[in-house]
This record gives sequence, C-alpha cells and structure tokens, in this order.
Amino acid sequence: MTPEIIGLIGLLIMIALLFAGMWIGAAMAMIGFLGYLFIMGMGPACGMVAQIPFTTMASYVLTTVPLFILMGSFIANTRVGKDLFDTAYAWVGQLRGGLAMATIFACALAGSILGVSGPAAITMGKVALPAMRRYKYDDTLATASICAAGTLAFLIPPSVAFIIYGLLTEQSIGLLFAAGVLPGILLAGLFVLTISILTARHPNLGPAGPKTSFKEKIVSLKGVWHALILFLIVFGGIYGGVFTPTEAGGIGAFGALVVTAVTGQLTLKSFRDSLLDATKVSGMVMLLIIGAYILMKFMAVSKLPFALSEFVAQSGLPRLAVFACIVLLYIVLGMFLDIFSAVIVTIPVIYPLIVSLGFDPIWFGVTVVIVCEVGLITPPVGMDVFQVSGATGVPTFTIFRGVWPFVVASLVCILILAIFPQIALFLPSTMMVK
Amino acid sequence: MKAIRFVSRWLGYIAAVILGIMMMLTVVDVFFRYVLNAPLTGAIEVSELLMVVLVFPALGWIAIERSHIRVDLLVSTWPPRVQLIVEIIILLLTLGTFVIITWQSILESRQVDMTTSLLSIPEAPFHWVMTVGFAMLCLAIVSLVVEDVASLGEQKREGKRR
Repeated sequence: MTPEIIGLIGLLIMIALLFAGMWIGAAMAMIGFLGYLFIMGMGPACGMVAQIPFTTMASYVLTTVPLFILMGSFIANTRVGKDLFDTAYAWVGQLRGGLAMATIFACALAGSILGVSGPAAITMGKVALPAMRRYKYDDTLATASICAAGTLAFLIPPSVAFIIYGLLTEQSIGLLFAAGVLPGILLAGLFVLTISILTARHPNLGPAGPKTSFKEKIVSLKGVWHALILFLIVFGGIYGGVFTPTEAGGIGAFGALVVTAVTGQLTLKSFRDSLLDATKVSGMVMLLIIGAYILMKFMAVSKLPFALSEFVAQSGLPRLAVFACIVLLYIVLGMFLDIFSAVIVTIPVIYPLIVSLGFDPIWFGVTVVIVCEVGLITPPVGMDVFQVSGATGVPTFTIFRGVWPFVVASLVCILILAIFPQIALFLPSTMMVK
Repeated sequence: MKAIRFVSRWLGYIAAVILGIMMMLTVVDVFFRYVLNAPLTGAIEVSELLMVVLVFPALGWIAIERSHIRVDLLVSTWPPRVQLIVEIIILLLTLGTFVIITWQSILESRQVDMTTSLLSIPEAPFHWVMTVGFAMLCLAIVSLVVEDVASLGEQKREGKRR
C-alpha cells in the first residue's frame, strides 16, 4: 500500500468513527497515531504522540483562544445583549420587519465583542423572540432571523474561528480579524435586505412596530457604549498595531469583567460560572486541536493532501469549479459539525489544496467561516436550527421553512466575495503591523 | 467512581483559576509594557506553561460531564440499546488511544530536563501535569464505560420484566 492509500483509508475510518459518535478530538488522535504507525513504524509514532500534546499546548498564541472565550462568557452573563437589542429596536423597530432587522443589527454588534456565536444567539432567542411575538411576527421569520443573525458573530472580529484557522494555517490572526469586518457588514446588510424583501411581499410576516421619537433614538444609544468601547479597544488595538491578538484577548476579557462590575452585574456566582464555562469550552476546543496536530503529522507523511492537489491540478477542472466543490463540502460538514470542528477536521487536508490552487489564504479563511455558518442553518439538519428550536420551543420544521431565504443571502455573499475578494482583503492591506 | 468524579471536578476548578490568572498576567504584562514602559521578563513563557496547567487538568472533567465535542446526529436516531453498545465500543477505542498517549507522556516526562530560556523554569513538572491530566482522562473514560455498562444491564432487566 502506498502512503496515499493509507491516508485515504485512515480518513474514511475516521469519518465512520465520527458518525458513530466518537469524540472528534479522540478520533483524530487515534487515526493520526495509527496511520503514522503504519507508515513510519512504532518508534516514531510513539515519539510523535509523546511530544505533540505538550508542544502544541505550550504556545503563547494559543492562549488567545481561552482568553476570547472568557471575554464571551463574561459578556454572556450581563445584559449587554438585551441592551444592544433595545437600541437597535429603537432605531429600526418602526419599519416593516424592523424587529427582525433589529435582531440582525444587535447580533452584528454583539459579534463585535464576542468571539463565539453561542451566547449571541441564545441571548437574542430570549430577548428578540418574545418581542417579535408581542408584535405578531410570524414565527418563521422571527426564528429564522435569530438563526441567521447568530452566524454573524464568527465573521465579525473578534472571532475564535479565525484564531483557530490562523493557528492551524500559520496565518496572521490580526489580518484574519481585519478581513472579517467588511464581509460581516455585507452579510448583515444582505440579511436586512432579505427581511425587507420578505416583508414587502408578505406584510403580515413582520408588521411595523410603534414609532419612536428622535429623542428616544438618541437616548437608546446609552445601551451600546460598553460594546463600542470594548470593540474599539480590542479590534482598534489589533488593527492599529498596539496589541497582539493575544494581548487583546487578555485586555478584552478583563474589559468585559470591568463592564460587568461597572454595570452592577458582577456577582461571585456569575464570575465563577463564567470562568468554569470558559474553561470547559476551551478544554473542549483544545482536545480538538491536539487531535488535529496529530492528524496533521499523519497527513504530512501520507502525502495525501499533495496527491489530492496534484489530482485536482491534472484533472483540468477550472479553479472556480474546484472552489464550488469545496464550498459544497463545507456546507454539508456544517450541518453535522460546529464551526470549530469543521475547520479543525478539514484544514489538514483542504488547506494545502487551496494554497496550491493559488487562492489567498486570508480570503479563504473568511469564506470558510461563512460557508460553515451556512451549513449550520441549512435544512434538513442545520445544528443552529436545532439549538434555537430547543431554546424557543418552535418546531424545527417551522424554522427551516423560514430560514432558506437567509441561506440564499449567505450564498450570494460568498459569490460576491468570490468575484470581489478585495472586500475581504482591503482592510488587512491597510494594517500598519502585519 | 465517586472519587474519580470528585478529583476530576477539582482539577476542572484548578484549571478555571489558572484561566483567571492567565487573564490577569496578560493585563499586567500589557500595563507594564505600554504604560510603565518596562515589560515583564518572561511573561510569555509563564503564559505558555499556564496554558498546559489550564488545558490538561480540564480534559478529564469535561469527559466526566460528557461534554467533549462529538457528532450525535446519527447516533441519536438509533435504538437506546444499540446506542449504548456502540458508545461502549467507541469509548474503549478512545481509552486505548489515551492510554498509549499517557504511557508515552510518562516516558517523555521522565527524560525532560529542559528549562525555559528567560526565567529558567524547569519544564519537567509541567510535563508531569500533562501526564496526570491524561491519566485522569483515562480514568474518566473508564468511569464512563462503567456507567454505560450499568445502564445497559438495567435496560436488559427492564426488558425482561416487561
């Protein structure tokens, strides 16, 4: 057997194990170890698993991940999410479908201080859905807009998905963060456009809310100051080259703690819960990363990714056709895996292919994040839909009926980014420190 | 089994405290560097070692809470008995993998005699922290297998009664 065949068989067994419910990190570690053993022999394989866990974890850049997760769990335990929604509501609530739009805006703003999307979607589910029901919104539009909005947090910096992509591909996290800003705004804009088209055609989906005066709009802005300050410090610090992303993570987490304290929402219990939550999520992600590094060693000696790139190059398929296949693959993966797992499991195989096809790694990182998020809301099995359904009690079928226009909007966003990659690459090109 | 649960939970709490310390260390480091213009020597090294104490002790705790990330979409559609049997097999495979990793970590930890470059902190104790973390993960998996086997037996008994 050639190493390439061993690589392929290993991947197939790994996929079977994943579907049988093995911990994703453990499956990658096991297949990585066994595959390496088959190709290189017992001694090197043992030496590899003896060293990889320590050397990958004792990394300064890696500390960025738990720090941003901690920032998110501090914020999740405050009313910041509700405040953001109230502000957005005061500004656009009087429009047709305005509450759904407010959900999108509030999630985009929350995304600018959250590195993970869970807290944003859950808060919005608790705050936005009751408000939309009060104003007789159709459940399909209400829940679908919450699902769609939840996907924005991973695209708008800070984003733990970008940190992990950057770590695994050795790309600059700062550049990835900057690259996510404009596509995030574009996607939020497309979602809002989707809502206004839907409600223009079917006005009873989302009737207009009560009018607010200009003064109320200005007063409502007090709900966004903490988010604004945190965003300016964290993203501004990275963009302006003042902090490294890791330092920004520490400052961001501490800043979130200060916001909690200043707004009088800091209790010993919420502090302890935030720490424990963040530790748990970090540990979950770190097991994946350890597994991925072991799998990457196997993939490197199996030369499978190179064989794949060569195969694709010789097949004469146009670049964009290959890209379309990859997009499709990620959408399917996104239905089964959360975004961390989807990125971590695929990067060892897909990334070399992307580089050999001459795609920009930063641009591809942005695309991967959007595409995985599309998978999370795509019928029949999008995971986010199940979560929102579980949190709100609305049947998944109802949500799936409402969510497809947003899936189309996300695909349009990917298409626009494929045609105009500069939307993602403009901000990174203006950064002072690369 | 109770002892495993107890110890792994405490290791989780230790990991959480370490996360808090890591945040403060980064903040203090930034403060000293940009405000006082006197960077802390070796803050980066300490962060790296803290990361080891944060991650590995938490693994067993997360396992005991059955929170490690997995795909349960397909599994959850199977009959409960099949689910349990498949889970036991999968857990045994996982156990095998981590027993090998733990064993190799022990061998590695006994040999390590490196120190960090700036503060000359010996690395060996941190290798042992990792080894203990992996060992606790193995014990946690054993306790999950025991739990699953017990509930499999319970199901069988209930089946007979019906």
